Amino acid sequence: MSEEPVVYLEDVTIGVGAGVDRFELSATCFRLLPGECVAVIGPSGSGKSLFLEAIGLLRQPVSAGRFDLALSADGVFDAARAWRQADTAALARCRLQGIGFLLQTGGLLKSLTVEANIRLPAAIAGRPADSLSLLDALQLTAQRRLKPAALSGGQRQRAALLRALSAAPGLLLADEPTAALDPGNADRVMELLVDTVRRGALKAAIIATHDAERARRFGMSLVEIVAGSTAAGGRATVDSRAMLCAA
Amino acid sequence: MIVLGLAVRDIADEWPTALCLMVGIAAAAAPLIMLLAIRGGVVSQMRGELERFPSSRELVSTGQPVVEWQTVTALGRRPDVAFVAPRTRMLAASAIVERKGRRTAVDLVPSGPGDPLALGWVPGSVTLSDPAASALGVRRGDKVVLVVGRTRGDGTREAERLTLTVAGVLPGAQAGRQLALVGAGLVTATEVYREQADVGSMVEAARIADLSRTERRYAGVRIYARSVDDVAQVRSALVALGIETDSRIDEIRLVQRLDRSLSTVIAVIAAVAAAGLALSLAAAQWGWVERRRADLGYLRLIGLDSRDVMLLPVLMGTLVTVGGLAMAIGLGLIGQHIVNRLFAGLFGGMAQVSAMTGADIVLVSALALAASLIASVFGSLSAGRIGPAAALRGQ
Repeated sequence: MSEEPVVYLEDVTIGVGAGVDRFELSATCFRLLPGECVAVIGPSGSGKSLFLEAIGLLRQPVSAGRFDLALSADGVFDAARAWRQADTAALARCRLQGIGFLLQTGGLLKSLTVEANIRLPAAIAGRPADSLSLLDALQLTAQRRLKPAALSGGQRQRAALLRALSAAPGLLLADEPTAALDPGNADRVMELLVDTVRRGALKAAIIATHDAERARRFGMSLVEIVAGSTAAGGRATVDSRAMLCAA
Repeated sequence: MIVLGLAVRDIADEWPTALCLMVGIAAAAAPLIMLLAIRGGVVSQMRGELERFPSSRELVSTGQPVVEWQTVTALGRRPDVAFVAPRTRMLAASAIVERKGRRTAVDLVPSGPGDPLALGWVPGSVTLSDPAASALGVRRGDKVVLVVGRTRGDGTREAERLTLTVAGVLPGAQAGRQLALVGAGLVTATEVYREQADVGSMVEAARIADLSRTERRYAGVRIYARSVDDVAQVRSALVALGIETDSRIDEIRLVQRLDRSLSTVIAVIAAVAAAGLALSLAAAQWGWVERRRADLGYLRLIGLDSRDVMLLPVLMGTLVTVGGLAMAIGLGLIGQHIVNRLFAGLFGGMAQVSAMTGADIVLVSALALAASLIASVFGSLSAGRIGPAAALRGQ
């Protein structure tokens, strides 16, 4: 495995809103290496989701010095240039082929069974749903034909994880994946995330969370969004050189 | 197709809502189908009754009009006229038909190519009415002898005999009298033969009749409109020429008015039903899109493009409408059965008061599907504006 960063941001600024509601997040330097599982921490409203949106190629940065994604064997995708050239097709392709999303409450489609939910992203991408083989490991085999409404919160989030892995992405972005879970289930999901990266099923993962203690406990690198302020509105900085490393 | 699968699953998942919408659609479409079926049953059977007999299209001149040959040919050129023949004075137009010793008196009716009563007419043929044919015991293809007699000024009688082939027999329902339909020229020749004592034979009379046909004045016309609906127009044209006629125009007008009135009622109900259907579907779909923003955003996130997401409300609306239409057709068939039992025997033994046709179903289905497509536009546009980021923000 090369040591080329999976995500490499330099001087990337992301903005939202206008006037007094304007909020800007600057990533002066953010490097995510293969095999890394990073927790982006910060209180609510600090811009964690905004950061994930930017890395997930869902939000155009205001400016980007460097925005490289190395998600697949195809090499490095220059997202800064793709945004500059407004190449939405290339951005969408990179997102679909390389990035999986795990949402706060799972976001499983309620009309589909667990299995159909897991198959869906792979079916749209036109490939087999490899992550179905993990049903057993995640103790969801008995629930595969049930709809999300019949599942517990923990089961739902595990199913959502399998769905996020369905199209075999290189990078997983998880937005507060444990916020809606009880401590036991929260631990379980964190452990699965870390384990998935460790086993190489994912190149790397970024988890936005306000639960620094749990992230640290599972051996994740922490990147804190540091709040600053400008006259106009909110401002925050993320810099992985200031990473608080555990273990 | 993934989107169709998603639409079907979603309807199945929210089946009580879908069922309510379907019942709503059926409640609007079923009465429409039934009304169309009843219009079809009543009107088409009344019309069919009229169309079955050529006599419905016949206009017979009354009184003693004087009709020029040019008028007859001008009438014959009209597109709404199927057949026209000049009439001679009635008295002149009687003769005897004989076969193997049996004989019967007939009225000669001027006929010719295109005469709806004498299909298959050729020169030298005769079409007999049922009473005349049975009096002679003849069938199609038999030879008969037409005897045209006259009384000279000195009281002596003489007769000419012509052999004709029976081209057909008119069913009893169409003519109760003893009639022989022969070429219009032959009827005129009969008149010439009887009026002009110096004309020696029917052959000569026929020659004179033919030569003088353009200068002759006729005592009326026998005329058939192209269709039942053309009768009124032909009648007006004849009135303008000073020819009053007897026809079944009142019966025809009744059917036409009934048809138009029912069509108006159906159009009004259809408009109200389509508007109701479109509004209720539009509201349901708008609500659905609003409720499912995060899900739709997620579908965008995992690679459905906005066209696919826009297609979802359209497909769901269409599926629900198809379901509603199926119910409506079922209800319509039940309604038809009840109506036909309730009205059995009424309206002069009409076979079926309600007669649903494929065309009725196609019409109502097309209307309902069009309304559903229009209704889907709003939900569809709203869904199309949802981007993939809505999945992250929408919760």
